[in-house]
Amino acid sequence: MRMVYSETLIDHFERPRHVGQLDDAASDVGTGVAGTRETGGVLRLQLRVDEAGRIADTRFKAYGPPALIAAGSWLADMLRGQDLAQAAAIQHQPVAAALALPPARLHFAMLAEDALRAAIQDYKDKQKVYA
Amino acid sequence: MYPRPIYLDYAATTPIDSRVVDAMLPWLTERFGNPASSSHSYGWEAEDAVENAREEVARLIQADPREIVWTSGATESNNLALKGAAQFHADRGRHIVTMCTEHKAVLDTCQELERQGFDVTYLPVSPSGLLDPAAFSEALRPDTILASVMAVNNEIGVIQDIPTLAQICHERGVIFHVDAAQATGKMEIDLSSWPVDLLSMSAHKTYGPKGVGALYVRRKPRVRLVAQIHGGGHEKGYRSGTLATHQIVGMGEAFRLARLEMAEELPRIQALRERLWAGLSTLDQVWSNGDMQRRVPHNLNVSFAHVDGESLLAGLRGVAVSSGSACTSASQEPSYVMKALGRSDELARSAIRFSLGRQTTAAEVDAAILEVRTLVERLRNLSPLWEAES
Repeated sequence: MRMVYSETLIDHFERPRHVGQLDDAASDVGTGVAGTRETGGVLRLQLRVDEAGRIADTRFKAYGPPALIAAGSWLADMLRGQDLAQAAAIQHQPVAAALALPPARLHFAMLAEDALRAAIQDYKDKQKVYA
Repeated sequence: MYPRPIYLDYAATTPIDSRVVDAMLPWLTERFGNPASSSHSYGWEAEDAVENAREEVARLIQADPREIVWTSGATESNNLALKGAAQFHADRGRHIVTMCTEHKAVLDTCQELERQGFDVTYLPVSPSGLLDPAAFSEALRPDTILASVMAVNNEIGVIQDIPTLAQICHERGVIFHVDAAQATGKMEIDLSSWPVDLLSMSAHKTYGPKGVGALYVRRKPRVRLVAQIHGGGHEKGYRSGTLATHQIVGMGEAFRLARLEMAEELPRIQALRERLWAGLSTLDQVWSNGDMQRRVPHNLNVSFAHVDGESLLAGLRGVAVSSGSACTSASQEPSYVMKALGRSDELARSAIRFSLGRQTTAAEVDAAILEVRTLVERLRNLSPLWEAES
């Protein structure tokens, strides 16, 4: 089978945006990890939320196929400047559509959605503790 | 036009040697006769060319030209050998022995034979990809009629101990077939001393054209086969159909060149393979797959821990390679050969087959090393798992 990748996917795979790590322990940082090595993909997504409840900074790291690396990069990029409530409403469909993922790679967009939910939840949990 | 990356996929196919193309061309134009036309010179010259090519194929494997049957390629040769022998000898027994790392052309044919009522044993291999002759011997039963073991694995390049396995079969009265598609021109094949009964070959893995191959069928003692393609009784009834003179001439010339140039070519390619491995193995956590001694010189198969196989292939824009065998490239399933070696899914999926050939240069190898290293390091730096470990 020949893999056909969209231009956007290739762009994010070859020049991923916002690769790296934010301080896990910081109270304004939410960290979400989804997937396992054994199933072929792990994504870590991190958000820094400012006092106005907006996503001020993002970072991601991914192990997996081009679809997952591109999903992490695309999401890390589009989340910046969004408020948390907007971000919480994002599901896998816009990720899959932006990257034109084929059905066989759709679950990597779902993995990205899982990582986002986990990151938001982690941030909210921290806020409760620090409140 | 697509870009032209460095070609390191010679195990998938080779370019036709320009000398082979030159030998073929007249048989596509003015010398177009049918070798079966016995009443005029158009046919006679074509028949001479076919017989000359038959002699060249036989010489490379140290056989008699009368033992060579033309086919469309190794897949057809494997089908004819396995179905033909099994069906002919079905009244003697229904058991067949083969190996789980065989090419699909053998495995799928064996599955078809299972549907026809035969019983097939698929033997496992060692972690280095080799079949244990003692285990092979034990798997043979009184009702075993046929065994099939490839000479050289297409993914990992390991060489099975064909002379020993052939001798075991010979002593037990079991017909022994060898898929040699990846072996011709890459290792010594001596059917004058190895008691192999059937041996499949392909032209396009050895700098000849696609669409032609041959099956060696031993004459003494004579191996009997049921024909699979009927219509005219060509090739002593083993394989009907008008002979493709130009393809056959190409295979003959390619095999002649292989015989004459192997001694010079193999050490040169082996040195390039060693250069490639030296350049890649300084990376952390890379593993070569398959025995490094019992191996054809042109194959290197490497797994890169902490790197996804699809990302590796997608990122290698300047190098043409395969992951596993070409037929399963880009599928998410790890290669069955890697799994047979006991590799984890992660290492199996990140296996890359580099196969070098006649046109490979040291500069190409160096460029490939640089590109692979850069990509592996980039992907590892992207991985949350790599950072946790390092």
